Amino acid sequence: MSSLQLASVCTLREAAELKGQLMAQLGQPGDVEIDAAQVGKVDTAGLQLLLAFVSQLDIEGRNLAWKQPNPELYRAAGQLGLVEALKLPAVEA
Amino acid sequence: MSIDLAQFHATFFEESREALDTMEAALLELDESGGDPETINTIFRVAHSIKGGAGMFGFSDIASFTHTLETLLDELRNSRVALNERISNALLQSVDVLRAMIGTVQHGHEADPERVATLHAELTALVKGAGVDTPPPPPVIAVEASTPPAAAPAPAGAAAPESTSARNQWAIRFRARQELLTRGNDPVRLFSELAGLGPLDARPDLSTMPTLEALDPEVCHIAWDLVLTSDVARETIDLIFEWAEGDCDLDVKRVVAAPAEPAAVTEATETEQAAAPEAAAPVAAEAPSAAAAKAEAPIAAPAVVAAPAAASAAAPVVKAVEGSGKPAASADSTSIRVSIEKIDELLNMVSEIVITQSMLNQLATRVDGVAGDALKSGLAQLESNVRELQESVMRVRMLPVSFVFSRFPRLVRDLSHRLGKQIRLKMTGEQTELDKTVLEKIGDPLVHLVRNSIDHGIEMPDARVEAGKPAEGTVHLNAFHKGGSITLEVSDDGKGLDKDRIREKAISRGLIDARDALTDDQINELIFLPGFSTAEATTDLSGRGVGMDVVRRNIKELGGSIELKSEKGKGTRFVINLPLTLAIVDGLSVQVGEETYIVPLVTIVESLQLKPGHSNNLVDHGEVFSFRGDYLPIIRLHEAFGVEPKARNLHEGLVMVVEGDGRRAGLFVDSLLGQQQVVIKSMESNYGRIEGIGGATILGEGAVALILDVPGLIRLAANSQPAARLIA
Repeated sequence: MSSLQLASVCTLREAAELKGQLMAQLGQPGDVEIDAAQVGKVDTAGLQLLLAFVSQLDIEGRNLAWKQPNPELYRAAGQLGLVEALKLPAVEA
Repeated sequence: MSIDLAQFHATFFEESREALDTMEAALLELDESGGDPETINTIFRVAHSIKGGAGMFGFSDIASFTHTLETLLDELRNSRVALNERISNALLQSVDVLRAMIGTVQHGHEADPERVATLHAELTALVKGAGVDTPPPPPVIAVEASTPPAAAPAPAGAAAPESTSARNQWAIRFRARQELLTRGNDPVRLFSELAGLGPLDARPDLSTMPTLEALDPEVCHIAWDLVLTSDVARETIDLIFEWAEGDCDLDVKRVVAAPAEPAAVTEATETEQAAAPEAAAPVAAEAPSAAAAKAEAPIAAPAVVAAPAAASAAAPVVKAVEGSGKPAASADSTSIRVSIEKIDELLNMVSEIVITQSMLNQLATRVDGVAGDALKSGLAQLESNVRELQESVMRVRMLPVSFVFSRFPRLVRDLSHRLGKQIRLKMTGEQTELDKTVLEKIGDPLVHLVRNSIDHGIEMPDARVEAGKPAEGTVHLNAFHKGGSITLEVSDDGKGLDKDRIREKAISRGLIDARDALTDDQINELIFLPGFSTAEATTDLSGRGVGMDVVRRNIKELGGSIELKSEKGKGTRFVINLPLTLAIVDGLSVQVGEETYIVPLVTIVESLQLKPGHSNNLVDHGEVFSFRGDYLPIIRLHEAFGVEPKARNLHEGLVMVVEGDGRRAGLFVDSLLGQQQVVIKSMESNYGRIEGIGGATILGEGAVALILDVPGLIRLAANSQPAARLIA
């Protein structure tokens, strides 16, 4: 399983960079763990990229695990109704 | 690619300032109307849009301040608190504080943090006094409302009790357009604000999501169907999306209504059913259960598909309703914001065309025959078109005088409160249009005049009653067109100028001699002399020595003039005459030797040829001639400008009677050449200020001609003959 560490800010400003990071991750085989402990700020652009990434993993039949998703990530994803689509675990707040 | 939100800051600052002007005017109106709901709504909308913008750009101090302000306004709007003077003062001060806060973030000027904190506390106290706690800002509510594991549907904020008892539901179809994200409209923030109104269920439509590789990270590819359970009005929802207008497609429909409003329900349902009899119903039926089921189960695919269909089918109806209810939205799209520099560049180009066209006219006189006639006819057409073009561009620069007048209701209110006077401000002719530059520069002189009227003119209420006048004094601001110029008047029904005191003061300052016999008008003129002030005590309102002389000088710099009429016990009236624009002047070209000068038409009274012996050399008064019972000084232009004239004897040339600042004089020139409109080229910006010359222009044949500053010339002449000063 390869691990992907998300930056503390995942917004429109960083979107191009994040997309590059996610594309690079897709290029590596196997399951993926996303470390989202640092995410303090995320917006629609950031969530949309993560969603596309998660969907692609799904299509490729690869497993995804979230590591310590930050409450801020929950808040923003919840606001957009994307908690389930992002496969965020439904336990932590 | 990163997006720099700073590029939108300037627009936010500018729009916020305009919004604050609107808010201030509405607050003053509110004072008078005693709490008209529509006016309160206007103020609320302004506060809300500033809050939205500030939140978007991360100006958290402004957002937090406007949030509290908005809460108080909401209490007023819902009649949970009645308008009183304390609230009214706090609201007006909020406008000042917000202006300062915007200045702080824009220019780094230090706003007074203590004042901000004090007022913020006062607003909070007023809100609390109304029996409500300020709800925390919406994003905080949203954290708790939307975090799935928390599961508890009721947010902790004050909005919760209202929301849970709400029976209205709003179905909102939200689809982003290309630019939504890059214009700073983040759905996370928008939905957070919505969630502040009540429980919000967001169902994403991912049908148009591309793969990660194909995804443009700056475009929002997700659409949403939102269900908001809240009793708020449609308008409140629109306000949240106000900043995203044009960047998203939005359909808002009420799907379940409170039984308390049966009429409204029936109407809404009928409208929707008429448009989409099959589609509208499933949404209404599905929405509540979907909201409840949200936390437990994944979103059922059919719901995602059915909802968009319903929304799009009903869309035309919703849009039609919006069209009739929101005329302002369509009005917005008919205007654009253009920087004044661009208009000035355009105006400058038009000026150059005028000059070129004038040159061509001169050349055309040398072409004879059929070709010459055709050329002249073509040029005549060009001249007419250029003139129209010039007028159109000039009109773009014109703004109504209300642009300046709008600051006075506040000024009069504040000053009259402070001085304990009762003053009514009357404004007429606010729609009269004037060049923007002139308007901007006339603001300060007008403020000075109005302050003077309030401070020195209008008496205390008891003194007024004693004098047989109503306790309430009136200050009247008036604007109207008069020929090619505009007149602004500031008048009051106060005590008028005390001519004896003015005279005494002028004598004590050595400005006039005790033996001088002055007419009333001449005495009034004394107050325009530098350093003249009769204020008993210096207050911070007026009487600081920067007085009427500065007012007159500023107005003169605009090519205008100021006069005053005053009657003891009846009041004072200041009359300001201003040119409509600073860019073009109608003038008469005159010849002196080889030179051509332009005399502004507005200054010319008439032209005449003196017969030999009709002029006199008076001791101390220089050369004068008799004109309708007055003796006017003669200014020989060739002497003033040091040129060799063709005519030296008065009867060989012409004398033009000109007037400036209420003084008349005769300008002696060789001959008149003709009337023409000339484009003013500033001497100050190209060379330096010269007394007696207002600017320069380029004539048709390409030569440069000086435009005379008639008041300046008269002043120059008077200074070289000191004793003649008061005669003219």
